[in-house]
Amino acid sequence: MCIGIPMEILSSDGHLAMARTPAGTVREIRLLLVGAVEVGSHVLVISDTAMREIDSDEARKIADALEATTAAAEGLPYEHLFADLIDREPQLPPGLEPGGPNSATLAKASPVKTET
Amino acid sequence: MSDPVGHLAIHYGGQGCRLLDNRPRHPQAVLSGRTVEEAAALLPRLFAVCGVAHTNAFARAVEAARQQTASPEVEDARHRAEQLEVVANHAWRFAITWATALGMAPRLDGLKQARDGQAADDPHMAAAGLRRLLEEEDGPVERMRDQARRLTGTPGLPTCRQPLGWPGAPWWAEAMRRADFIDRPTTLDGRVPAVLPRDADPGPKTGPLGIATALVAAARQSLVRLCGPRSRVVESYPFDLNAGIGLAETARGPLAYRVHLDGDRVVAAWAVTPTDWLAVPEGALGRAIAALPPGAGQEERLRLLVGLYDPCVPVQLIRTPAEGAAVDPSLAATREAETRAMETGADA
Repeated sequence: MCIGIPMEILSSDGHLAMARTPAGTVREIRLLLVGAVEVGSHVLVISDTAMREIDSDEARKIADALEATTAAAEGLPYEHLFADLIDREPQLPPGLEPGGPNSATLAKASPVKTET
Repeated sequence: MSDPVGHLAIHYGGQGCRLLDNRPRHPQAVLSGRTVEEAAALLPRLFAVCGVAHTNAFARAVEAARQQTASPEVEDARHRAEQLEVVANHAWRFAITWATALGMAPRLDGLKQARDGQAADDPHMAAAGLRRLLEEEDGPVERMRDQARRLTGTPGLPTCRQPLGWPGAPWWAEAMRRADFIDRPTTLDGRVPAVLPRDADPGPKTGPLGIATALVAAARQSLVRLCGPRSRVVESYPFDLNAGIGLAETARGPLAYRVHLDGDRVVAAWAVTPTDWLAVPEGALGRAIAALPPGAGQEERLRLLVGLYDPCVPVQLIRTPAEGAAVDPSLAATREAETRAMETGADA
């Protein structure tokens, strides 16, 4: 599913750590890739292995986005969980930004080759 | 907050093995109603492991819906980022997932080099890390192929179609076009076989050895694609007025998005990921698991199969008692829910 979980480090011996998920569950994770991390710091975890260290702001944004998916599935409001994206200035990825390097191509609106 | 990742539950023991998909349904539902730019910014947060692939597939689907094409320069940049992510994730599989499943120490040097190359946008560094893992003598890659050969000899183990590497893009576009998302926008019960045509043919039938061979071959091909010129594969397909399909590559196989727009807003978006193919009981992993005979070594072979197929989602192994013995209450509840679901057609 390509989903990583942000976790907060509760204790660590440099190789293993006890870390807390956004849902409050405490799990043992491996620190093979990130090495020693400080208590209170955040890591992105997949398969109980920390992929990389992330700051608290990124950890919160990822946790909120994931919570939004569960809220949506339960029919609950979720837009407040990524409110920072809703009212910001447009920052489209490459190829979709009106004034970006692809704008000439977009303006021409070339038809896409269909092979189906 | 409930578990946003979910897990696959494999029940095994005296009553045979079977796979239950306990993943959340349709996480792309949060994209509905968002502007294209909001949705594109949200995707890397939702899918932090394969954020490039998800964003690229989404962007290509949006362009197809708008009857537009990205410039070669933009597609070159996307392709480079996508292949760096693919190489880093292949490295993760060999260095962590396969090594762990085999009881070996993780191969950190090659993995770190691959991931550092991705972070530094350095294809040659990333490629060197993955190559190191692929070429290690008696390393996880070699040993997993040996184990896969042994597993393939299990009597009764079926072969099954599983898309790996990069099967024909037109096939994917057609499958996504025909998929029955609209009538059931938030219930993908049954997963891929239900939403994609049952007569679809995403690739040759294969067993564990074929999967191991295909994954190693896909990793080698990704090295060529990362460091060589980009092949001009069509990855955007218009679907209907204001609807499009976009494709991207991941280390576990192709990822497809179908997006419907109303002006600059996303009306609906659906994705079919490689994990969807693996998670269904009728899929390659589910069928291989179901064919494993009970008895000594069953759990070890299960762990090997799960590590080999690498479904990219937590897997819970649950031992069930032999026939006639007391039944685990949680399994009994699951079976009761399944029975109800079969009777009512609802999600299990």
